[in-house]
Amino acid sequence: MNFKGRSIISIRDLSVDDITNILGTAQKIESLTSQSPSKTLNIAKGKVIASLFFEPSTRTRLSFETAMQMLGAKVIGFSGTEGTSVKKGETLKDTALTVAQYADMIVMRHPLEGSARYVSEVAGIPVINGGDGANQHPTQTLLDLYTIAKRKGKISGLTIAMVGDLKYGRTVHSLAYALSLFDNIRLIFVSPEELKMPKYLVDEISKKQNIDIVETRDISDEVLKSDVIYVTRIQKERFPDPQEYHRLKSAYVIDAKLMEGAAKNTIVMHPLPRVDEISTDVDTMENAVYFPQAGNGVPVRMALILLLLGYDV
Amino acid sequence: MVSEKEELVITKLKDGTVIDHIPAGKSLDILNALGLLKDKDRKIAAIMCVKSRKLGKKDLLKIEDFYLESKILEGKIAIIAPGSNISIIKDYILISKHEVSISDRLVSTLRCINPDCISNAKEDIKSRFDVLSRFPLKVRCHYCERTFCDDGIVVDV
Repeated sequence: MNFKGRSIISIRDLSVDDITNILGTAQKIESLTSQSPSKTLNIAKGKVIASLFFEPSTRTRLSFETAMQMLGAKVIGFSGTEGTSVKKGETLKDTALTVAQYADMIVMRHPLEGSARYVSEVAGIPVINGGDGANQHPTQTLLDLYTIAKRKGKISGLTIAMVGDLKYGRTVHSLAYALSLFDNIRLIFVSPEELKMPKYLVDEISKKQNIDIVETRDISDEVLKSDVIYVTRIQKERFPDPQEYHRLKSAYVIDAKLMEGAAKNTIVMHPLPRVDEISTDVDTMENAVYFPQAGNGVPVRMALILLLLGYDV
Repeated sequence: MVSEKEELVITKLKDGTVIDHIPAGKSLDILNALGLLKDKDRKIAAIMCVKSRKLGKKDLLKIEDFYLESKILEGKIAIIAPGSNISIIKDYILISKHEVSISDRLVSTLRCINPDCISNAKEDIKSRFDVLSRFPLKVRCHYCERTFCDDGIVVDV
């Protein structure tokens, strides 16, 4: 599949071949950068990439901008709308059309759902969605898949447990959907009743071939022995009753004592930021991969930038 | 069917559109969606809750000098009143008649009820929905990707 000129807006736009291609390109890039003395590849020298973050971001913006710098591209843009024409009431369309005069590509985060899709339809240059409100964050899903493939050597045939807030977390929605595109996946959804994976999504991915889905409230032995435990944060603001929040939150904490029951090769992932749901005593365990996971955002985003700009690696 | 007695009180339409087999009580929703409720100069006959062999009870609309040929407007009627028929009349002659249908993609037909969807922002943007299933009707917003059914499906008026 030729990616040149395309935009990456939603994980739903990608086929399993597209995903495999992106992850393969990221792997090559990681190998090339590790061989380069300067750790950079100046493949995209002369290109200008706009980094438009209409709302705050730590990992996503920094890893995108690191990826751009490591490819030799120039980076323009903003983080937060203070001091921009957005504050003067400029429409998103006008901002996009203006930036498209300067840049070869837009990477954006915006609080409104569907904003990146809209910009990709009006800007005339490739757009990568760095998060559009509660909707999509496809590059997070791709780096999650890359982390799984890198650590496990494959994606098909794995058992992945997702733990915590499965109702509101866009990360787990997209990841569950993407995993359902692969063969022989077993998904274990672990959450309190109030924060279960949305029914429409469970129904949709259940229809895929060769997928097995289990929903449970407990971190069972099977969860601890799964190939991947993907943990998400339970957010306080979701609960009107603070006591209920504290009761549920404590039921889904991964700590070193609990991990004693885990398989040696079980990996623990988290999209970050974490609060209390993974105890810091897990950080030094071999199972903990959440910081390298965040690091994998760089080769994956480098791969996407190169593919959309039409470069071969 | 409209009974013979009821037919007597409605003038035969010379030029315009007849919308028949409307589920009872939906005719005003259709007029609202067509933007005709506030049209004080248009002659409209709205026949409501009459007996129908097909539906039990139905509504019927006769709209003078109005030719319903827009696919967008037809899509709105198909959402409000699935199964209804549109007849175009010119000089008392039936020019065309067909049942309304829902296309695979609905543009400018529905309004997304998600307040955080970009399609509700002050932008130059047309709403777009993909039809996931027709019976029951289930649609997904092209922008925010949320799926809607039942009361979540709102016609843009």
